[in-house]
Amino acid sequence: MSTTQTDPKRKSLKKVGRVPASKMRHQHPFSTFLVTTWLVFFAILSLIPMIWLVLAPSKNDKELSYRSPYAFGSFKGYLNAWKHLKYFDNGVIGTWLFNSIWYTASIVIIATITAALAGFVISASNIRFKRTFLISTLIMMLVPPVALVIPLFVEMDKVHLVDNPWSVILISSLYPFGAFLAYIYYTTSIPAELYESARLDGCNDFKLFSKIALPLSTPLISLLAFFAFIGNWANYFMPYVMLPSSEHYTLPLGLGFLFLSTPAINPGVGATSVPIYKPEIALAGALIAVPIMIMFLVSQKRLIRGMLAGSIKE
Amino acid sequence: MKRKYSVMAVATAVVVGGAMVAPIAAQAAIPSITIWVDAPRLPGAKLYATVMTGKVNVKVELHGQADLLAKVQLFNRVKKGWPDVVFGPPNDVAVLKNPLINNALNLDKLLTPAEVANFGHGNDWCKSATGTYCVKNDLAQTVLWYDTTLFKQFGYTVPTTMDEWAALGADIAKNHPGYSLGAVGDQGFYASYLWPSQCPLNQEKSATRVVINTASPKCTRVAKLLQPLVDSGVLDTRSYFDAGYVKDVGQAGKIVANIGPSWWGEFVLRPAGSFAIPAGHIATAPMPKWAGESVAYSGEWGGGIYTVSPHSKFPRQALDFAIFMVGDKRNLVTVKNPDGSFGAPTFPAYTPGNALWKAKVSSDKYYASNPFPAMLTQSSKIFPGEKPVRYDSNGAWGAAFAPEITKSKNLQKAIDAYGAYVSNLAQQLGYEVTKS
Repeated sequence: MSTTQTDPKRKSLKKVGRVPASKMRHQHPFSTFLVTTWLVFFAILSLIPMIWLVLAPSKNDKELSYRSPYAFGSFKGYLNAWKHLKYFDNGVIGTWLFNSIWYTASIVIIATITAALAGFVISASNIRFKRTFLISTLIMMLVPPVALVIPLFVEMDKVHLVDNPWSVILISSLYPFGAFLAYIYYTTSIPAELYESARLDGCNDFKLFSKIALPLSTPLISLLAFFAFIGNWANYFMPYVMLPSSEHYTLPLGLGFLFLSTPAINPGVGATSVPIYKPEIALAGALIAVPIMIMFLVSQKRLIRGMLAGSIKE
Repeated sequence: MKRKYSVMAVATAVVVGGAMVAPIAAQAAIPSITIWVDAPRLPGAKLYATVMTGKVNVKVELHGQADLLAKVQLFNRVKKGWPDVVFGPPNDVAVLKNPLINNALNLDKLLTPAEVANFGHGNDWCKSATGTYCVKNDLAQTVLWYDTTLFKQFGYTVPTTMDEWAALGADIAKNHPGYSLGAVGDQGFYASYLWPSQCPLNQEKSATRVVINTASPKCTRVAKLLQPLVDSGVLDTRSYFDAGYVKDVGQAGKIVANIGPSWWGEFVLRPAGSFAIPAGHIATAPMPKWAGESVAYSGEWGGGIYTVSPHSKFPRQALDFAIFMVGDKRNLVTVKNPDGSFGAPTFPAYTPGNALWKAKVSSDKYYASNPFPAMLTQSSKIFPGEKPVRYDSNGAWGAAFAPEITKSKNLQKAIDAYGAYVSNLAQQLGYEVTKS
């Protein structure tokens, strides 16, 4: 009996005329080869700089210039580079690191919540001017942040937030891309009928969001949080404009100022008594880049689920 | 009863209010200044803040040298936030004193006669027809750096004229091929040759006029004299900081001599990651003199400045910080730097300051002989014709000169390319460009 029975999954695939991916691979070995080669090529291309970045601080300044880029120096190299970074201004790098963490965490929380809410409101609520809000969101996505520097600076000055971390947190929490992403998700992944039946059962907009939409939004929330994190963890520009005091600097901003004062990346500086050379810069680059890599590795499954959300309509 | 309570309330308010205001009034009596410095100046500035505790409230901020202008423009918008005193690169003063930016105070009335005398020629860069708009932190006057071991080995004597310098290059090309008299592919060429030769490249005559004339005999003589050295490879067309040059020439011990700023020995010739020339080799000599000149001028490569904001409520206290940095032993000799060294890294522009700094460099066993006398000689001979300008005259060496010298290996063509580039920049910023 079991031999004559057809797998119901296959049956449904046949119905819609699709071929399973595994079968496709068997049918087209050459295309599989091409695709694999292509993917491996890009994987290597992406990995090369990361490997270099991780290995670079293990070498000293001289070794970094003349040894193979993929040669390992010593573990002492990492310690020395860290010691030099940490020694600067009594370990101010710790303050910058802490600032980066708490600014970014605040931005991720606020931006994710507001973007999810905004996307939901534009897609599922009954408010007026939904289309206008959607177009405004799209326009905001197109405006480069540089164009808004002066108005934002003046605005923050009016509310006495210049040189206050909240200036950066509030401005960076404006997340039109996230709102648009949430709009797409709520429009395509959750059937409109679900909203309608919930409304019939007495849900208002807020309950609809909290009881129906939010529990179904795990992939979206991960995606929003991830993009908010990578967009703000290494953000240089907004802290640069809004925060003149060094105790408020973020890691990229503080390190940027520190490195610009040394000949390591700016030979014209010439004379300096700050022991910041290429390994220290590589270590700082790793400090900034590694959290993004870790975040990506940890959340990749959820991200892919989030990115594919809405791609299949049953 | 009601009246009684009202009187009590008013009295309480007065007492509480008075108690709150009293400390504010006491605080206000102490001047407050905000200082912006780069990383190397940070230990000195923090030390100053400690020294001034109870006398001046000093807030020290780390900033990048290149970002001051952008920040000042933002502060100008909201009419507050300006730092009282800022350390910056030498050209900043031209931009900051521009009335559109207005962030460099004329210090003529603030500087005491003793301070002016102590700066001597060291502060010429900051002076213009309308006043003194900055004070120099350090001088980066060029001197002749030479390898005593190679000189002895090859039987050379130190050149005192540029003709002797060219002859030395010719001899190296003929008898010791592979050895070098330095590189010409960056701003060092300007500081070492064109500026000392008085070639008019950035000679601001007023806020609206600058002289740029690469056809001047003071420019063409440089190209004529040095082109054979470029052709023979004795003068390399790469930058001193080019990794290939560092490896092939610097670290290979092939530099017989070169003309470079006063910080050259400590930060280019000596460090292991740079040319790594061993101890006991390096000495300095005064600049060679150009034919027909009575003074052996230097150029400058670097040399930071302090500007005081005209918006500062305490300009004298702001200026005091600058004077501390260039003249106080605690900063020049004893302050501990992040790399473990002590004191100011470069030649102070203030005469009492460089007398203190002398002890530090003179006793350094790295040098074959005391490098200080040549530096001191040249400190008062920086050709004063070249002036700070509002355009990026330094960046133009990388943008215009370096590509042309790399391509054509022709010095005059590369100088002309630089001249054309900066003329264009100058005109864009409202200068009239003249030939004399």
